[in-house]
Amino acid sequence: MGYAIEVLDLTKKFRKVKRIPTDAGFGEAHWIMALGLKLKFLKAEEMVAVDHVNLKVKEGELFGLLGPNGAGKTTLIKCLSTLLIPDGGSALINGYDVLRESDRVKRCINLVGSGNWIGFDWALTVRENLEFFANMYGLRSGVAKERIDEALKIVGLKEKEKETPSKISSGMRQKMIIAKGFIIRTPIFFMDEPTIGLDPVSAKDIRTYIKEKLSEELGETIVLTTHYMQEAEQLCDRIAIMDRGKIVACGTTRELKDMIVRQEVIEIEAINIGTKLTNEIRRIDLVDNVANHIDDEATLTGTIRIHTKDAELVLPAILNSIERNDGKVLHVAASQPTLEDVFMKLTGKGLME
Amino acid sequence: MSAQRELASPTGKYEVKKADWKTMLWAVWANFKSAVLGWTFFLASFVMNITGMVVNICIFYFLATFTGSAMAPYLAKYGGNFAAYIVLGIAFNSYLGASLNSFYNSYCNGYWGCSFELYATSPVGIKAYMAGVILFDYFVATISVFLYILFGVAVFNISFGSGANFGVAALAMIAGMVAVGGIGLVAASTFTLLNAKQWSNPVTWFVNFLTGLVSGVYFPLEVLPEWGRAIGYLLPQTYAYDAARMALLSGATITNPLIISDLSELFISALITVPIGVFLFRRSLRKAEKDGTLSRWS
Repeated sequence: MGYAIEVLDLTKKFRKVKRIPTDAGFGEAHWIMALGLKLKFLKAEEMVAVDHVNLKVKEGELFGLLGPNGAGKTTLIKCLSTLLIPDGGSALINGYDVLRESDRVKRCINLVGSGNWIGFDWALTVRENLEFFANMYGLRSGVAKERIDEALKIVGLKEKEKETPSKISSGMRQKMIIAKGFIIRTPIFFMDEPTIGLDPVSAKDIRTYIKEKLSEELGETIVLTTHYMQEAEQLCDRIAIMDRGKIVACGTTRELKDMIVRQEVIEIEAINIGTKLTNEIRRIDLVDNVANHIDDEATLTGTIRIHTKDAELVLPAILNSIERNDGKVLHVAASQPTLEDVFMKLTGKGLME
Repeated sequence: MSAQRELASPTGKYEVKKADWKTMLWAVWANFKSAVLGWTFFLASFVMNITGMVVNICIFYFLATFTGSAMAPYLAKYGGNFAAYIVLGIAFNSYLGASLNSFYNSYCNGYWGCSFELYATSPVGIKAYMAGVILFDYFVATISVFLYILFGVAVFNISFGSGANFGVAALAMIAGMVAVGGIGLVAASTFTLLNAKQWSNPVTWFVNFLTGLVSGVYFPLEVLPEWGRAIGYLLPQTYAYDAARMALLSGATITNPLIISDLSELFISALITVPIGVFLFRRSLRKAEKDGTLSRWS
């Protein structure tokens, strides 16, 4: 089996450009400001969004890119789908070079993004929009109808097919984007955070379809970006963990978890777990990494995950620390390592931080 | 998968087939229809624009009546009727205005409507999207032209006479549309190159400003001071209006030296503006692909 995607030393940098104030008094003559800002732009600071990434994805593989917001996942996907020109390195998609053979690459890929207004015609209904996409990709009407019916059913939009995009919720518009992806068949399918903003039931149905139909039955190579570790764990054959533009680890879920096999994980559910407490716990001897997930912002209730070499030894100090910071412990448990623990070990922070 | 042509790629996997001319035409037509559908939601705005222009025609007509026969020497080569002169000027300006503005407008639509990224990865590409929107602009211009001429005929009794040469007028307008279209492409390139994203750009602003003043839309160039005429002769619009008016109002033929001169100027203008426009527009698209700004929320 060959590689569907080969990425070698890919780099993408952006310049941090100051946004032009819309209330600067120039009104429609906004470009006058733009001329002035060109000079500032030349001096702008560079930000490396994708930093010398090397990657190989096998044909038919369901590959995950896991990382927090701003890790560079979307930028990498855009470079691979020819929407962004990289600054360095190279990438082969289905054997074609993304820079020199971008037209051929486009004919091998399908891209589902997130953002819920991507290119929809607000005057057309949900079904008409999907018919439009099907026509654009040259699908015969019979096949198009069959695929649209199936896609609408999978994403749960069948009842809304006669509504216009402006009259449905943002979650439903995200479902439309996914449905659009499901009606096109290409060897390589890029999905950029497809289930973001969806209800759990719909997200589960969509994951099942991706796994069972697109990956297992049709054998498509799928690259899926997510910051939901459960999604990556549940779907992907292999996962690359990204942080600050770099791939910090890559392997199967098992291989990644084996990286922290010599560590113990404590999970504490508590009230009032602010940043001050997290920093204090981080300073305790034998504590390697700490991450907190706040579920309720008002009471700062949530979960702290702690990596340590000896849970029994550090637990009293941690509980003391919580008490000193006016916290209240609700539940303490020894936990199994998750992908987030791998991420914490590699980057020293949590996925949601 | 059976619905898509299977081609041999380096990995031996199938691909989406390249868009054929039927799919391209369909995509252009679908985008045009979509723009028309959207336009019908804002019909009041179109009616107000037309009303404004009709008021303009009236103002210039009554000014000409006020000045009496003073305009006559300047209008001799156009048949001497100022009402016909002004109505045709404003009508032609709708077409050349569409050439100037439509590339930039379609770029704005594609960016702000988040369509460019979608089309860029599709078999039809962003050219199908832009062509649909540009076609729509010409459609609106055609309706405007029809309404202006209808108004001129009904209110000011303008007539083209039996000698009107529609073929030469059409040729002059097409040549003008190509030459001005080159400037339109330069205008569209400022969207990315100068970050002129807010539905306004320096090129159309400056050319529109000059066109109204020195190209002969509202009054013959001969009434302008020498420096005004010199600037007017740099604009392709000047030659297009001149040739089209002479063809329609005086029946000038293609062998008329003045028509030959105007068409030659338009041809030379197109040779200059179109390559520059294409070059800059390609550069702007390349820059958008480098900056990740093909669509908003990128």
